[in-house]
Amino acid sequence: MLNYSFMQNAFVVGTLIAIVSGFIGVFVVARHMSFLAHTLSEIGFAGASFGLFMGWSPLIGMLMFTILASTTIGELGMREGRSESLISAVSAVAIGLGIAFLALSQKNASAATGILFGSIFSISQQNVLQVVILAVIVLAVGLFFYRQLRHFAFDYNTAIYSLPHVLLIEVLFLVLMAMTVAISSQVVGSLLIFILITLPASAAMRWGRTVWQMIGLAIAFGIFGVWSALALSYWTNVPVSFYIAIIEAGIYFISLINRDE
Amino acid sequence: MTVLTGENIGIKFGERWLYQHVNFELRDQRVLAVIGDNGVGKTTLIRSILGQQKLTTGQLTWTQPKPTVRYVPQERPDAQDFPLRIAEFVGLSFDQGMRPWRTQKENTQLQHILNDTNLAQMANRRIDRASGGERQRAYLAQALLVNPGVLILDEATANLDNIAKYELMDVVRHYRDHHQLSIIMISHDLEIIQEYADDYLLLKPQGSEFGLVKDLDITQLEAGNQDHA
Repeated sequence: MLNYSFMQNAFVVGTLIAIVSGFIGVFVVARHMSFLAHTLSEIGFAGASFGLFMGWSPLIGMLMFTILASTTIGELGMREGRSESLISAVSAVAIGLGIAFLALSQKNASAATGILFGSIFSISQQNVLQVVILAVIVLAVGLFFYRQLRHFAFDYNTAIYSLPHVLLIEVLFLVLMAMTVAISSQVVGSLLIFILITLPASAAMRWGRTVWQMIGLAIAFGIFGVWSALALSYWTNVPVSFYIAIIEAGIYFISLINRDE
Repeated sequence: MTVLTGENIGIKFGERWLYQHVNFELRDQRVLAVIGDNGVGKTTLIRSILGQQKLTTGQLTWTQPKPTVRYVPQERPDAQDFPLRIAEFVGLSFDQGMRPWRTQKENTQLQHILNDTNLAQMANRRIDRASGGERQRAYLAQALLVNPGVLILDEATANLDNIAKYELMDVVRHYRDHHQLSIIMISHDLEIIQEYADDYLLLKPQGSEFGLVKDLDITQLEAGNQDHA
């Protein structure tokens, strides 16, 4: 299985993405922004099809759209408080745009399913490099600002008074989230983004007692899901995203049973 | 020594003055109680002190260098969402620098604060399962962790039973006595104010008062069932 270069690529990219998603996912869930992460993935869909339309790599289009959107509607949504309607409107526009760009780009349906549901086995060497670089950037910046992000995400009510540059941290957090969404979509597709960002983190946050424990568990759950899914998918020819979804959701459901100390 | 002086402070929302001509002083190692009717704008004044709200008139003058200010807000929804250990929750205050782990010195400091706030025994228990009193002490510990010069408590005792609220305020007083700390507390609890506060600032739309708590005319607050304080 590991003799094929496409499988090697898939394992490298999948592992890195599980690490990044687990790390950032804990902060996203703590800050109650899972819903925004999901919306960003729909915006990412629009970005990816825009990328195709322009003849770029979908990842580039996705990054552009998600970063732009996260820093604008993310900010708006945080100010508004009740932002469900705003986010629904933005999702609608994003998916509409995505469909339009796809049609205009004259690509076949497999390009669309690749964006929506992931295409880790067909990831190109150049794409692997992009994902690796982006993942390393997100991790490095996340670690560098770990203390600030931790306070910001886990106790927003005091962080806004205690962090000297809280607005900067807010924007940084949104950009990291957008980048994570964009790179994670390479594995699971933009429709299923939350299975790597939200689910492992949510499960980890029911077991972990420190932020590092939560991050460690989230990464472990993510890697376990990705590796098992890649192997299962290789043997059964059923899409990877399906297996990751089932495994991560399964871990989350088990975490719900864990109610006591 | 005076840590913070407020002179001729007035705050206007739209066309309505919340209050005008408010004068007060926060003195070193003393407790200033901010009292007044619901809706008079006590939290608004606190927000000005925290630099989040502009004054319409007057000014706030800090002693130089400006001390570190820590605010313990009333609403803390995040603390009940995740099963962080109390020690970890308190440690969130270490939010400067780029080290992803705690240094030996920080661990000592954390342990010191947990001892001071009577949380050492339960440091490994979950914050979301802690009692109201324990949780308030954890909020307090989190604020005190960075050794602030000014601590602002917003209705810290409001949801506590009689035992827990004295326990909390004893911790505050003890800490104040042993550190360079001045405290501003918003409170509705007259017993607590009389027991623990040194000075008071009674906010009113007209004619706010500042003075020593021992001179505070309580009958005026209780008169006419107005529930001033």
